[in-house]
Amino acid sequence: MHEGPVTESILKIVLEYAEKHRARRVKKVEIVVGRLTGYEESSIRFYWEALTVDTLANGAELEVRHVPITVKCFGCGETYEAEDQYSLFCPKCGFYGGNVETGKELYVESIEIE
Amino acid sequence: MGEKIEVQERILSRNEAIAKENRQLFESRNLFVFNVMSSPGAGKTTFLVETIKRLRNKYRVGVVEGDVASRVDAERISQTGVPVVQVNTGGACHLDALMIKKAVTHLPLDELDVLIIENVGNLVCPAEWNLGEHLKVVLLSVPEGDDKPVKYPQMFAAADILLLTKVDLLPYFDFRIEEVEKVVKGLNPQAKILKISSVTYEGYGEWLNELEARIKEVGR
Repeated sequence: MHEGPVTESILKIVLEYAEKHRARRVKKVEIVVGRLTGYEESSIRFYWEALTVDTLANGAELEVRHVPITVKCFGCGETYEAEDQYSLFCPKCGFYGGNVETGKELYVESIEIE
Repeated sequence: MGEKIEVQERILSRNEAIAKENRQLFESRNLFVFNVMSSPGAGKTTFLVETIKRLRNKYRVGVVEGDVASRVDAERISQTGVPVVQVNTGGACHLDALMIKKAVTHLPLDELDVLIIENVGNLVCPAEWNLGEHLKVVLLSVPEGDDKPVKYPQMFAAADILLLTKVDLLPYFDFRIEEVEKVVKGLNPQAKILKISSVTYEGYGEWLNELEARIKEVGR
């Protein structure tokens, strides 16, 4: 859900940087999406295609780097990778809950212009 | 040919920027703001009416009501006599910072001490959208079941205060309070969990004490 506004925000950031660097067009955009954000890559791509028409980013390649959910268990301190945002069960001690160390990332990493 | 530019800028920045502006506005007016979230039917509006009745002898209260459609909730709140604005999202499943920014222009902020925002009934989306509030309050009612925190972790992880409502119905449901406490503490060790009933008024004393402590913390 909400991949629409998220993709709008991505495009806004991309165009701001493109204009600041006097780009004629944007060739590539790299974004980082942590798995805990729940954003679906296919939905982002869907909105990206629609929103970039008639902008400097029209036709730009969108590269999505995913970051897994890693959790530090509140029970035993073990760091483990969680499958999705619903599975915060420690594989070592079974405790439910921990500090999410990675997985919440959501940012535009870089753009390539010409 | 191609030039690579480092950006490293967080997305969803537009809502965060407006939420920050809202917060600055609230602080400049010495206004304490809390955001109330839950699924539809958990008892938010009833809870607000009872809370307002108990707050108003000490604080001047205003309310922003969020719903997809209708003025039903605003009308209930306005019967308490406090100023209320109804926001109809027309399909959006949550309130966002921009809606709040516009809504508060219709309230006499200089004449208020506490602003309550009743969010759209929804256990999924509102958690992600900062409004500029000081406190996030989540309601979970007994009939909904004790498995909601596991199924909707983002909402329960975001709660500063979790209110278990309709506790007068505990004898009729298989609702394990310890289960909810275990899961919520796992998601968010800082969360405060309280039990209330808007029928017997059990728990309202503790809730008001907790709320007042938070209001004072912010310096109002």
